[in-house]
Amino acid sequence: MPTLKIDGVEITVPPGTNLVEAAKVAGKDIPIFCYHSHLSIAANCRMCLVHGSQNGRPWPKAMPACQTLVADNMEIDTCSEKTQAVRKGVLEFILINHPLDCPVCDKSGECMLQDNFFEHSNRPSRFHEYKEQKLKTYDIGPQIIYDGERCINCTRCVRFMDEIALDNQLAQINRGDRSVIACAEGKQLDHPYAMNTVDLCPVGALLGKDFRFQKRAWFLQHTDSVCPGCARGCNVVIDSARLENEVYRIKPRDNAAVNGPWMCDDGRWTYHQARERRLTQATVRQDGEHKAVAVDVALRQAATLVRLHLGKPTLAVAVSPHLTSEDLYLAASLQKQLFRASTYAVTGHAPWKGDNFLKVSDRNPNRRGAAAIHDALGLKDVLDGNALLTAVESGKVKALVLIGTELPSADFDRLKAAFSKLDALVVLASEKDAAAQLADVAIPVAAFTEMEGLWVNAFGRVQRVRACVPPKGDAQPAWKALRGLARQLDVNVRQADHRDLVVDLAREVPLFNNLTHESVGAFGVARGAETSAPRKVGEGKLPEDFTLPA
Amino acid sequence: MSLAQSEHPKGPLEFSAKAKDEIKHHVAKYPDRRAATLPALYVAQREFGYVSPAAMATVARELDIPETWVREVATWYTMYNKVPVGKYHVQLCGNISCHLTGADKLIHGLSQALGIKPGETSKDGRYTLAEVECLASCGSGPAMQVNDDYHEHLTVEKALKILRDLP
Repeated sequence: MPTLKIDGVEITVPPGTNLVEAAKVAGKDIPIFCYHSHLSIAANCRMCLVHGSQNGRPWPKAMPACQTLVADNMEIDTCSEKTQAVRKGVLEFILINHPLDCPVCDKSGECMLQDNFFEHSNRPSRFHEYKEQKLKTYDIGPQIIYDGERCINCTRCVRFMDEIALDNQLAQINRGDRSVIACAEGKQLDHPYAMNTVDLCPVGALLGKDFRFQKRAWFLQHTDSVCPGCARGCNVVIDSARLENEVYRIKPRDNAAVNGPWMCDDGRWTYHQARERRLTQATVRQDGEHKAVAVDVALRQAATLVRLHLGKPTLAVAVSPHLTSEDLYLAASLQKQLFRASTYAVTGHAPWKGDNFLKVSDRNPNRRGAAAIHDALGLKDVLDGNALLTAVESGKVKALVLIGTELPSADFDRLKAAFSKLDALVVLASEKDAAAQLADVAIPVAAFTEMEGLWVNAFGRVQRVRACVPPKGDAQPAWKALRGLARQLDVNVRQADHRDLVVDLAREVPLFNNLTHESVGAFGVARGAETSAPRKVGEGKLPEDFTLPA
Repeated sequence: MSLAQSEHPKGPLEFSAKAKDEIKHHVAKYPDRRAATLPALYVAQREFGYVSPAAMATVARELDIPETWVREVATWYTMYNKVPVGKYHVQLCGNISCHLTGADKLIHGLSQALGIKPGETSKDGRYTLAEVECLASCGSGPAMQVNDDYHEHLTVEKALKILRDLP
């Protein structure tokens, strides 16, 4: 393994490591724009130029660190005046035509060009010529706006589309200072993973329409969580505004075992369901009309409705695989000691078409967790959502408690016809969806941005969901609402708080043995041998025995 | 040689059988099909008169590579005409050696005689005038390239005679 010195720090790294990665090992930071650890090397931004020497002989000129591989007896300097002078020159070139419209640019505050400029140059421009005018606010795709003047032509987005999305939709056209990113004539950047190009863009050239002009980056706080979009459970960062407690954006978080640094566009829009159309107040139906009431009143009403059916074949209880494992555990134990419903079901959205990259066909983030809990607690004959709807439609069920309202059918008329056969419908809902609108009692519960807990993805990996904003209105975590309902039905739940639930869950369900929120951590814990890692970079592109010509 | 004098319609274009054979010949020379983009674009330019988006799409289809790859190449190189040109594309060298031997006068003279500035096409679609960089004819300037043919040691009169004598 090559041993080299970076700023005098001696390190040994595997052969084939480039100098940017090697510098990280040595605790040094080489500034970059076009380099990305998951993309091919372009070495076109020149930001990572460093001086160095080999066997004591200085290199004739500065070399791009991203493209230079480590070798024995190499010495690199990442912060000498000579290297810094190179960086100043590079930044001056990059900024010749950059419009410096940071005050109206959404990237401002999280822009690599700003950061690198402040850290490595921070001097006024010597250019007094007019700046080249190029495409501005160009509608490059259904989700994305392109700004050719801000673009520094690093081609990260082009390489992402070529190498990861495997769909060559983007090109760098024209040359010199007229270079811009474009699609083929008459085409658009339209791909289920296109928004990753916005994350990759080091400047504000590619911006998502969804987040554009919504919030300045420095007002956002970042919470590590998990995407609820499908059963892969991509690791994400949820960006929310501190002051108004609103979620503004979801971005992928690098976890090689689950999603790499990518996520699909559909996953990014999931935060809308936690922001809009929310059920924020408990409602009780009186004389055919929904009346907003305090949660306690609603719980009491729910208890009155359900009490008649406890332990009878007319009662059905259904849980959603979007709930945390703690919620599901409490629901399952209440089913055993309180509800004793003859119909117990796990609902959930109908499957969608997965793809060969990240999306899996199950759209529910915790179905695996639900199955593990029900197995461990010995719940038999757990129905799925469709079977539940059929049972309700048959008129056998008279009282239904829906804990979480993700149903396989969102067809309002079908649900209305089915639920009209019920005497009592109690729902714990985060959204004002069909079930919440048709309910006799609707109790608001936390959305995925507001709850703490554990999810198990389709590959058996336990991951931690974190609350980034407090529950909206009167909403509360589902386990608290359940505990309230149990109390109204004269059953005291043993667990005093969330922590107790986690302890019991870890003790009683083998999948969660010895786990706590802390030990699951930000990156999750794999249970079982299955791997959930997405396909590798460039897979299916070059033959395996491909070697570079000597 | 069929040179277009008007813009291509939006729909797809089709190569002649001969052009297809020629592209096949170029493809056979390289280890991968993408490498044949440059010669294939020349075939397209000759075939369709200029490299319109429709022509780029046709090249991409013929080479079985993404359209974006062709667009990158075609827009990078200046010798692919992205706008329609006249029957005779008159490229006048304006670089230093030709300039010293009177390229300036030549360009102005032709401009006046033909009534078009560099970059424009005459109304009858016969000539397109262009000022280009070095034509690699420094010892024999001023030089002019009309379509694929070189003319050297020019004066305004000589150049005009050459142009007027063209079929």
